[in-house]
Amino acid sequence: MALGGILTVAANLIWLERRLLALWQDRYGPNRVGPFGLFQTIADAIKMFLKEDWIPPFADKAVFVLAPCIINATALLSFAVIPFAPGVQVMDLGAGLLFLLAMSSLGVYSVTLAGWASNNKYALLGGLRASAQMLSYEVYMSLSLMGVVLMAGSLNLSEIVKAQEGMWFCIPQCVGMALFFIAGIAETHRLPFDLPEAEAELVAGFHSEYSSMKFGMFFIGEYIGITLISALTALLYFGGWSGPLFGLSENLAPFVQFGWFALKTFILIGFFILLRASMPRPRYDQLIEFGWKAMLPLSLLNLLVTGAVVLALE
Amino acid sequence: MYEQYAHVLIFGMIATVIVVAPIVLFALIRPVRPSSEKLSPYECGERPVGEPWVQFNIRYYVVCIIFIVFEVEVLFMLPWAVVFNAFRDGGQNLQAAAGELKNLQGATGLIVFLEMLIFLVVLAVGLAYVWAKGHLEWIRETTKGPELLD
Repeated sequence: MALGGILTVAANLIWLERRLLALWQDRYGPNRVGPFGLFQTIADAIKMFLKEDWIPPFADKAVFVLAPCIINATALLSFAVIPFAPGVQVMDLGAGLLFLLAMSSLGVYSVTLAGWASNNKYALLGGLRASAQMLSYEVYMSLSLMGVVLMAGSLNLSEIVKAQEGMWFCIPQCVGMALFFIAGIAETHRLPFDLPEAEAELVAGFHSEYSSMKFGMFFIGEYIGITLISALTALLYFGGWSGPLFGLSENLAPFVQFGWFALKTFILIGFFILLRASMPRPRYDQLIEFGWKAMLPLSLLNLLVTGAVVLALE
Repeated sequence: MYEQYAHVLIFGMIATVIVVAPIVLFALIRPVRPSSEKLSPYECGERPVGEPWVQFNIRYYVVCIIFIVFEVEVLFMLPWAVVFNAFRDGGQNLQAAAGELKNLQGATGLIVFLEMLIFLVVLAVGLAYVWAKGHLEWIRETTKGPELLD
């Protein structure tokens, strides 16, 4: 059920993104299919299901088919440890955050193998770019999380949310949060960091040769990734499910708490889309140099300062 | 507690089915109409020139090597960050949790913090070395020879 929910959310995000982009760019966006164009996603899905599923004869067939499956399966698996409300999660893993980091790094395989197996110049370059970018930003991502782990003293996501009862970590960990969010954008290779698929230079990068549902997998995998990063940011920095309960009874409380969590996640998703609408794409050398020269020292400093402050407040 | 892993296994299997099913099932009704254009690599309608295995920038490998150094370091830091809080009061909270950590009982938060500080300084020296050597520069002025695609 959770999986169905996530897939529905991710699919409808495509519609949401197109509408919001249109709003911010002063145009209509998809508004023909169903009320407000809500059924656009269903129409797109049917179209994708029925299109020719093209495996190029020059491609490495097994890897070519495997690559899009990896990104989707790992992104969906990451949600196993996300607590939607207290106790409402598939697995309350002690090292949940580590599990998440591991799953999100497996996504690198997907894009790299896709670019490699396509046997196409642009796809290869896109895959290479994606691997270098995702590898670098993964380091800063896990480093920026370290401040939160330090303050909460746990890798368990429920524990981290509980540790934020006094104050959301977005205040003491504001630097860490900014770093985490930037790294998250780069990990999901979204605009402004969508260099692996930069249309103007690389056609579509690693998924140039993909069609039909396999392309759809990459497409929806990206949106699952956005949902994941937003949900994580909400959990780690914005107190997850915590929020006023309006004095509701015990039975209803989880629903309200889930509502708060969903609301925070959607606001962050909206922020993702706003970034896409407003930011230009940097050059590749700028991206990599920014990562190693600014993000890495900053995240190390953030960790040290957090440690020192935690120590001093003893 | 291992039941949880059974849950995640089931979750993973369902996820795999959801991912694979649309590819396999709808393959039955999808058309297959190859043509000569489709049989060649897509390059915006141009005839493909040369091999797809182009010579690419060596920097990608350098980034991977630096990545390995720092990612391993992160793995060292995670357990440190988890237990740091427990050490702040002289390790009293650890008593219940860890019998094998007895030799750490005397450690205070300051010592634990200083240990990590030393570790980070060593790493920072490594970063400074890589930086000074110019390995963080994507475009190096000393590059000679044929133009590389990046």
